[in-house]
Amino acid sequence: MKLHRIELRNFRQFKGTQIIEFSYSATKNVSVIYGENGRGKTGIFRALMFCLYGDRSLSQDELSGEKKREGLILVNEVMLKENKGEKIQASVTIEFSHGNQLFLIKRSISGLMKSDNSILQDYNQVELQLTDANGNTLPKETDPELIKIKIQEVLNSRLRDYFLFDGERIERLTRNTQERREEVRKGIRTLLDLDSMDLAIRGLDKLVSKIEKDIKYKSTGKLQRITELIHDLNIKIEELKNNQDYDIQESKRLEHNIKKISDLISENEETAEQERKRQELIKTKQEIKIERDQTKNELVEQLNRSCQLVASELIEQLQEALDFHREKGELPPAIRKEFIEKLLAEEQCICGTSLDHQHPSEKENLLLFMKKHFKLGLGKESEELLYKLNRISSTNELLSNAFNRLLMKNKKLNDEIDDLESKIKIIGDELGEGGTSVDDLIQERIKCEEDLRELEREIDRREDQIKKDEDDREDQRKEAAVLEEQQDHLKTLVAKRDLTKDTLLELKDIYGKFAVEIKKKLADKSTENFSKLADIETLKDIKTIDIDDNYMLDVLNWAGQRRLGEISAGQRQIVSLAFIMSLIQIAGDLEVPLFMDTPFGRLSGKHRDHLIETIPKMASQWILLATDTEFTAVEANVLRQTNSWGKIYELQKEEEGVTKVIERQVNEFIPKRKSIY
Amino acid sequence: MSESSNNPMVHINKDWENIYDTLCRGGDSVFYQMTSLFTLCATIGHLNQDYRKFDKKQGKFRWGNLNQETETTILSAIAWDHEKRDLQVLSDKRKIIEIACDYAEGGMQYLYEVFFEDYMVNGQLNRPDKLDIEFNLAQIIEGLRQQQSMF
Repeated sequence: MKLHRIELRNFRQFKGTQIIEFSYSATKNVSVIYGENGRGKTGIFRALMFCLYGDRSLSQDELSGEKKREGLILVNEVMLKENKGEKIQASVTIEFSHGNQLFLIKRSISGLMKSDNSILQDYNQVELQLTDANGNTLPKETDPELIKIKIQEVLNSRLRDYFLFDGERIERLTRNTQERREEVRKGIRTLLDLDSMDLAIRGLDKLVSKIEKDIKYKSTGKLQRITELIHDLNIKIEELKNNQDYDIQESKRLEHNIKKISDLISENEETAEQERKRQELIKTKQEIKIERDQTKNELVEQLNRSCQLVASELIEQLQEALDFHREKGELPPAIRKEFIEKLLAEEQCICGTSLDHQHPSEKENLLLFMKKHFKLGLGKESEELLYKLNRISSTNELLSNAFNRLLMKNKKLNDEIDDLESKIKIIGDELGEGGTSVDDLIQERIKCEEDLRELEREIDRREDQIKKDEDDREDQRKEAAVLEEQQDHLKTLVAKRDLTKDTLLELKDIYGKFAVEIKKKLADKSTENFSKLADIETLKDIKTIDIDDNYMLDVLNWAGQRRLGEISAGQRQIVSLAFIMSLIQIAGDLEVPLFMDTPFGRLSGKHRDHLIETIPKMASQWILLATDTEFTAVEANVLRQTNSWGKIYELQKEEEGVTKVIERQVNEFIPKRKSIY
Repeated sequence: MSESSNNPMVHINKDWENIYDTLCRGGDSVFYQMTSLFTLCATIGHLNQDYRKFDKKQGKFRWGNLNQETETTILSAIAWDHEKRDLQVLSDKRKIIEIACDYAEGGMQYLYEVFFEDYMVNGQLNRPDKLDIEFNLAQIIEGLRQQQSMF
């Protein structure tokens, strides 16, 4: 798919008719949309999603329930206000090519502002015109369902979340472990279209609970008590999981709010500087926390072997004792005791000598040999024990050094985090002291942050509780299974339940296998992308990208050690980019336009330059949405030198709620800032 | 040899069950297996010469579940020392486990007093937000290790 042009009419802040022509040739495939925050860069992507799929909001808006159904106000509000009481038509028209066909799709919506300033929106129509490879234009299609099918064939809507590489998603992948895990898991679920399978699994789970309920009503005695317990646990776990889902959504909403408020505070002159400092400190704290998590993981590995350290002296002493016996020849020889016992029983040595009563001295020698070499406590197990003691001992020094190093590092990082937290609090308190025009926002943010912290603690606690209850339930089920054997009248129900459970396990197994396969594919593809996107210095440290059983995205160095906590924030951002690109590639191919919304975030100049040089070669079409701080004269120069930059549009604020799209000339365009420094 | 003497059951005190569960189960468990925590407790108990009998026994795992390279070796060494360095005990798994259980009781009692007690509520171990269990446990172990190298 290649985007040719987009026409916006009264859509969001684009009042009137505004057109963007994208660059899509093989040699010039980069278009830049340049504008400050809030000018409508994301609005262009929003227009694309609306036109293609009828989306009324993006997933990053994090709307739910009624608000999600209604969507955002898509008709330009200034037009609505100027023409109160009148219907205003808004539309988005996109021209794109796919294969040898040319598509022209137009979707419209009308809005009306009532006298009380509330806004009604009405979704009008969508039409699609196809021109085939021979230039023949087919009749216009207006059936929404047929259009939907046609568009799905070009670009599956499952991928829409990944179509836009936004800085926030990229950031999430580099953040703390829970968020990272969730993003990777979500990506895989989207790829495999696992929602329906998920529904099936949940459905079967509920069916098992239902049959257990029936068993409960029909069972007697101890089994009845246990089945009641299981039933109560089923209800409890279901409720906990529902509450967990709700709280996770709520925590995302709070995060989103906090970000929105922070952006507003950053734009306010009175608070901008302090807010900038505060955000910097928060980012640094997050980076250090990632490093600390990594250190903690390594520390856990060592903790699991720490009994060796505590017992190190004892190990040495037993080693000495056994060595002493070995030197005296008292540890068993290679020959087995059972073999000698067999010879004595058969009264014949392997050399042919008889060991019967007529040859007492030979027999006596053999018995003495046995007594010397096969003492109780000095058998084969002692010899094996000595080998193991030697092996343990040889690793003790390394273990001890690693332990020490990790302890000191952990302490250092904890101290740094404490220090940063106190600085963040000081600035937060200063901002909270008031006297600025954004006091209310600051207070609101403080409240959101407190609520979020509390919610995260609750989510953790609940996660532990769910695990504990599930384990309890499993124990009870095992006990019940034994008792069920004894109650004949339950046989049919039990058989039904067992069949359902087996099916459920089978389904979970298939789900798991798919997930494992996809994880491997994603990891391999991510590694391949990373090797292209990262610069040479980074590639010296990092060899592969890995996704483990717990959906943890990590990087491995050339020795196979996990290193995500030790690489820079910029490098982590490249890891995220590589992963997100791999999602698109595995789902289809990279023959989709890559929309990147402020992707450079925390990348250093060197990394940015490398990405700017590389992405045009990797993608068939690149549409870069960038702010003035992201796209400076330096970046513009680097991009010009790739000779792949075809178009630039600047988004300018005409008045409140209105943005104008102005085409600039690539060769003459001068960004507002000289560099990121 | 019968199955139970060749593969004896390891028991812990029921009072510590929640601590074992909290530290050894779940995605962010401190110990990968209960055997790791158990062996650590046994070594701590032995180091402190705190050998305690207990009544409320809960079977948790068997000899076969222990790491055959390290954990069985260390527990064997503990039993050897306890039995006045008689090597005969090295071939008696049941005896080794019996001794280990009682030292583990002492070891866990020690960890409870120096650390866990402050975070127990109604017999449950809490993991409050800022509590860095891994770091704190590691510090305790480092302290014990240094203590033994002083003598």
